[in-house]
Amino acid sequence: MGRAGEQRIRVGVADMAVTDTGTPLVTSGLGSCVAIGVHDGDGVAGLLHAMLPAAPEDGLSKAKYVDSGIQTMKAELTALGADPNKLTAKIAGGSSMLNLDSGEPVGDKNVAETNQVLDRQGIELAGDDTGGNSGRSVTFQPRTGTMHIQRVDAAPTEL
Amino acid sequence: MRVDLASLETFNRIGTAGATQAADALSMLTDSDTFVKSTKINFTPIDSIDSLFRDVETAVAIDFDGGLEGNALLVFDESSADHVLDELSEPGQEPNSAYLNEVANIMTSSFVDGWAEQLSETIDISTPTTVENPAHQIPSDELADFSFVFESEIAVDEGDNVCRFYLLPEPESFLAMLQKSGDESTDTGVSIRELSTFISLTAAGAETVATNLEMMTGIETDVAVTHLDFVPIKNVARAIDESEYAGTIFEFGGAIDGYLAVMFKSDSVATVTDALLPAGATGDAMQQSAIEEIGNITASGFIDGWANALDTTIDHSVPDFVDDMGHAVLESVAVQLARSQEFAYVFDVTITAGDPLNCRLFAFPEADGFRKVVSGLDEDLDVSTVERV
Repeated sequence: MGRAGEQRIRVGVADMAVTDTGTPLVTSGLGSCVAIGVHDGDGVAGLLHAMLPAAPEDGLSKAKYVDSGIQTMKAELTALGADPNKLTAKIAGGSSMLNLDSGEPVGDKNVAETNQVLDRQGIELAGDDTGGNSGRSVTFQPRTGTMHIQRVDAAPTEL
Repeated sequence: MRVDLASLETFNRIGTAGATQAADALSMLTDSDTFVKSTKINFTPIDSIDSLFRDVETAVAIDFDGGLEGNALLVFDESSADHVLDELSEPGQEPNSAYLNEVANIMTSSFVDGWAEQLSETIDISTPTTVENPAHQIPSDELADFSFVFESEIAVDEGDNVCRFYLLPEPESFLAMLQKSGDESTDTGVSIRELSTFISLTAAGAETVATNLEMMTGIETDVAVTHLDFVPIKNVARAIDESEYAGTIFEFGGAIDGYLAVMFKSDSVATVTDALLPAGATGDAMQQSAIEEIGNITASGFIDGWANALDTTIDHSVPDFVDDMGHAVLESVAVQLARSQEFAYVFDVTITAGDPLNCRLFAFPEADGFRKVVSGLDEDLDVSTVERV
C-alpha cells in the first residue's frame, strides 16, 4: 500500500491507497485491470487497482478484487474522515488487449462489476474511460477528483 | 533434494519486508520518495548470476551468518547514484561519493535486519564494504550449479532512478531452510535437480530461438541469462516497463498450460522488420506480419523443446499481436493467471544485438501443471540431445 506524505502515492497492481494530504495517487500500465478513484470532495480520496471482479470466500488480498477492494477502500476513506454519503468515483481501464478469453473478457467483467458495486455502495459514478484495447496509466487528484489518463497511442485525456 | 515451491511465497514476503525497511531508511536519510517496486526470487545457474548485475556504478556488500548464511549486495546505477548524492548534498556543495557508501551501509543493515525480524532469527553481519565487481561476491559452491537469488528493486523519486538489493543465500543452507519451512505432505514439492534440468532445457530453447532469429534476419544475436523467477502475481507485469512494445502473445496447452510473450521494444521493431521484409515493403500490416512470424518461430523453439524432452505434445495458439505499453500487456497475461494462483513462475530471457535489437521472451506456465511436469522430467536428461526446430 502506498504511503501518505510523499510527492505522489504509487498504487501497484492489486493495491490501494487512501490519503487526506492532497498528494496525487498514480497507477500505471492498466490492461484488463480497472482503476477506481473515489473522493469525498473535501480532500479525502483513494485509488484502487483491481485485477479481477469478485473475491472468492477465502480471498486474502482485498485489493485484488473489485468487490472487496471497493468495500475496503470505502471503509478506509470513512475512517480517514470522509462522509460515506458524499463519495463519487471515476474509473478507467478494463481493456481487452488480448484475445485469450474464451468467454466474456475479464476487462468487461471488471467494468461491469465496478458499476454494480459502486451502485450497491451508494457511490456515484462521475466519469469513466473503460474498454477498448489499449493500455492506460492513471493519475487521480484527491482534492478535485480529476482523473488524468495516458496512453501510448493517443493524447492524454481527463475525466 | 526436494523443496516445497509453495514455501517460496513466504520467503518472497520476507524479502519484500527487508527491502521495505531499506527503502524507509533511504527515505529518512535523503527525504526521497521511495517505493519497493518488486521482489522476486531468481533460480539461476551460478555461473550466470553476474549477468544480473547491470550497469553497476556503486555496490556495497555485506556478509552474514547465523540464522541465514550468505551475502547481500546493494547496487546503484550511475543515474540513481548521482540522484541520491544530489539529494544528500547541501545547496552549492559538490557531491561527495563517500556519502553514498554511508547511505548504502545503513540501507544494507536495515535490509538484513528486516530479514532477521521476519525469520525470528539472529543474523550476524559483517561491516558493509564497497566492492568494485559485484560478481566477485557470488558464493562459490562446488556442490551446487544453481542458486536462489532474491532481487528487490527500489524506486527513488520520479523517473528511472532505482537501486537493487540482491540477497544471495548460501545454497546448501538455504535449501535446508526451504525444506524446513515447506510441507512435505503437499504435492508442491519438486526436486532441485529436476528444476535445474528444466531451466537448462529452457535455456537451450532460448539459444535455438536466437539462432533461428539470426538465420531469419541475418543479425548476430546474444542471449542474456535464462532464469526462472518466482513472483507474486501482482508483480508479474513489473518484469517490463511502461514504454511501447510490439510483440505477440500465445496461449499453450497440453502437458503444460500457460502463456508465452515475445516482446520487442519499439526501437527494435524497425530493425527486425527491415531485416525480414523485402526492400520497399512498408506499412503496419507488413510489420505486424513480420512480428507474428518471429513470434511463431519463437513459440515453436521454446515449446517444442519442452514437449520433445517430455515426450509429449504441447500445442500453442495463433499469435495474438500487441503494440502497446509493455506493462499493460503483461498485466493482462497476469490477470489470466490470477484467476487460479497468487504466485507465478516466469521464465525470463533477453535476446540482444547491437543493431539495436532487444527481444524479451517470457513464459508463464500455469503453476500446478508446471510442478507436475517438472517432477516428471528425467533429472539426468542431456538437454543437448533434445530435438528442436
